[in-house]
Amino acid sequence: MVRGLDYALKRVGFALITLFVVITMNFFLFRVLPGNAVTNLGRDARLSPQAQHALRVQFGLDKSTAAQYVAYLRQLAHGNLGISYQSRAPVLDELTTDLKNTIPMVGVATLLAIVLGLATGVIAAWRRRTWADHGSVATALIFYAMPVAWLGLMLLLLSNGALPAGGMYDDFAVHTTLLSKWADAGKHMILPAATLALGLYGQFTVITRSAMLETIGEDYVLMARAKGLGNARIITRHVLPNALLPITTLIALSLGFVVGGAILVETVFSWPGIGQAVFRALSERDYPILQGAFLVLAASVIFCNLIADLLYLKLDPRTAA
Amino acid sequence: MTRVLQRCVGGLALIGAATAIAGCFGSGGSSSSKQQGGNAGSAAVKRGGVFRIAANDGIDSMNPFTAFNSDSHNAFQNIYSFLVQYDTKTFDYVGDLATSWKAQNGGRDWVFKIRTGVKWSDGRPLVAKDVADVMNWATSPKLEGLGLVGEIFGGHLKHAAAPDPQTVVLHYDQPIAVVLSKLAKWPILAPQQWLKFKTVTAAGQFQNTAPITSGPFVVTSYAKRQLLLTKANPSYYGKKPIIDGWGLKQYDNIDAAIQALTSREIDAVEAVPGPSFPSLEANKSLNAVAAPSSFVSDFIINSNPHKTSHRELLNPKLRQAFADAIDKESLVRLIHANKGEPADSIVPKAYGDLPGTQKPSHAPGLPQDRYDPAAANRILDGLGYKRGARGIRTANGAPMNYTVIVPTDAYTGVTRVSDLFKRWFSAIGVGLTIKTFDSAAAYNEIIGTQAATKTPANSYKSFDLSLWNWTSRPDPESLLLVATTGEYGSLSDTGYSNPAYDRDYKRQFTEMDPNKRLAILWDMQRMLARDRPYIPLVWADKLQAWSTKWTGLTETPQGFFNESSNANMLNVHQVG
Repeated sequence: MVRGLDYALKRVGFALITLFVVITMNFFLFRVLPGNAVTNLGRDARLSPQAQHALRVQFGLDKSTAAQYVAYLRQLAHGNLGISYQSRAPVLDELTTDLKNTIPMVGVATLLAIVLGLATGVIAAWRRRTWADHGSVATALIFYAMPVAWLGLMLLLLSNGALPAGGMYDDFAVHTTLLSKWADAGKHMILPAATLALGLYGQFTVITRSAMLETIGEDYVLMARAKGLGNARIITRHVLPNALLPITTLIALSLGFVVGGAILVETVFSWPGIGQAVFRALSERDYPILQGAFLVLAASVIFCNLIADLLYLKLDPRTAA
Repeated sequence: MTRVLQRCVGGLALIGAATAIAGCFGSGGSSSSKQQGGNAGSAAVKRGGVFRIAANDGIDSMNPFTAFNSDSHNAFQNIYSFLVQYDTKTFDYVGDLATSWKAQNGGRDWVFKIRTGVKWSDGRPLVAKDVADVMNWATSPKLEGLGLVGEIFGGHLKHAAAPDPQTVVLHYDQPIAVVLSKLAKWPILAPQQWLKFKTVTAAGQFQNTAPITSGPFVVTSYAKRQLLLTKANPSYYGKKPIIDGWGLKQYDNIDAAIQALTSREIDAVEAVPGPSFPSLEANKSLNAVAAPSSFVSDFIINSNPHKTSHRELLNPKLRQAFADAIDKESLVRLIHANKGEPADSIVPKAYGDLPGTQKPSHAPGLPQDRYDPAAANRILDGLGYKRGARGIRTANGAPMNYTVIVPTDAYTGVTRVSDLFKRWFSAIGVGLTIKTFDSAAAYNEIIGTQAATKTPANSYKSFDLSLWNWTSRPDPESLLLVATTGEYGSLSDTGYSNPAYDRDYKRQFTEMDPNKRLAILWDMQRMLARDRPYIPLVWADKLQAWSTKWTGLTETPQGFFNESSNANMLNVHQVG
């Protein structure tokens, strides 16, 4: 028990240190990029040199990098992610809206990918060296290797107008009931979620197959077969639970990335989520949005990893040793 | 980022906006004073419906002081009123909120008479004092640095007065010839919504998602990066819209927008890429329109007299050789799908005559570049630039290898263009290395310093060449500005610094005789043609498409949805 608590505290400590490093890297990473917000805005005929100076002062860009870093840390400590250079709206408000849009789509896609990957991985392992194994692994790898933006465009062309080409809703339709609005949202979600799920599921297939194969070779599985247990029972009771460690890590990582959105998919399908916000913020040098988005992403990945680490304790008590 | 500042109206004369001439009281600098009412004029007009447009660059902000994208300003054109706007065919000024105007005191004072009985969308009456109060607020010292204000008033507005409810008088500190051009971009903002902001920060952070307006349409909903939806303003003072409203939907991917157009999810696409255009032309349910635009692509040669390396680039003869080496016809054919023409100036021909002159803004008789690599080689041979290893010439002891800065997000077909330029320049013994950036980084590379004040001595010193483009508004002043020394670190992308050019820019700004002013504008264009900070490449057509279910749109150099006039959204309607 004490050993378990010690393990948990260590993992939390590591997570906090990682988060601080990410916060620091977040700050400096984007400032290494050539170009800055003011020179970007300076291309606008509307901005006089005085206006550019006012912007520098307003966003603290007239101060040294070190002073900006301290101010950034101080803001964060107060839960303030700053003001977007472009929209001049609080970053927290902007990202909250984006997250609300991203999580349903990327969440559905990730769940689909996990289910599809687990199913194909299990089939491939159980039917090792058969057409089912080769077929499912090859298909998964082909989708995994495809550029996701290209895959999205191909699905868009294949749909031939049967499914909406972009956005979260038919913005011009009048929804009289909540149900019709949800149905509309569901229809708009099909192409981006399918694209993302197809692009993601291959990794689950490969990891599941590999973990399953390792477990299938164990003596206790042979024993289960010798005892005359059915295939389904052997897989669900004896193989899959023991193959879950690497799969858990991958699922935790994937769930962490859900809040990061899917930059390319959101851009192809004009999905107004956090991925699309990051894409735009990069081209606009909108540092506060970038810092905020990457902080949210990093924090969620670190948090999900922490959960996975803690789950290990439950799944495999030897981890704490 | 296309560098936005903003051609004759295209051959697609659809149902034009009828231009009713209203009287001009008195004489003024730019004395033309007309009312643009617009008239669908079609025998089969079906009223109602929402005209659904796929946005080009999308709305980045609903706040006029912080909005940058052209779609934001296109939207403002159709929800706010303006004192004046442009006629969509002649690009002369026509009245909007103002019924007439005149310049007095040699162009230092401008008097505008505005309409009676106008209401804000919140029901309050709109009077001259509202217009003057917002101008005085925006130009007050405490709001120095507020976006848009500098561009419109340039620090020259001393005071705006409203001697009676229908008269606005603008007092400037010097004669200003471009008052109408500038005010055509100044939305009439509601004092009850704006005067409460006491600082630049507060005014800039106001999101303005439910603006109080007085134009033909009012905003019904706005969702960032998704949609702007409007409905016809029932109390609009002018011609009533035929449609119920229009909506601007954001697509980040143009292929998705085109798919949405062909599947009738939307009704129009503002900007169609060249490769997609032929398929839309073949589609019987769509009008695919290519019309001369204000877009010009250009080849930039660093013109800073203080340039430190490759100073041979400052030699006018070398620049002539470079111009001879470029095959502009091929660029039109290969990059712009044959929709455009070789350019001889950054000032487009598309806007036609300068108001009040009956002569074109684009200077006539500019030298025409002809693709002639043999002539280019003769010039370089004549300059003593001998070919060395791998056929690359040497100038001032260094191989003529140059870096070309290209903003990938602003330049169509960058890979193909790069290959063409490398091939053309290789044929004259010049090596090019293409370096791609996004716009912000590319501009930073060109400026080359982070110093707060940019001068010829401390900036634009190291870059060689660049490929970029401009779009412009009707008055050429807005585009010729970019080559003035005062725009170092702001709009200058060439490092061009010529005191004579700078003087001409100031002169045209205050010259109240349109014909004399035009002569100066032509001189400035001839200076640029002689000194060649830019080798203008192509005036590309604006490619757009809309459903044949809709009509009433007049093509303009800025497209059917533009920041010059609200006539198109007033006239567009469903085919009956």
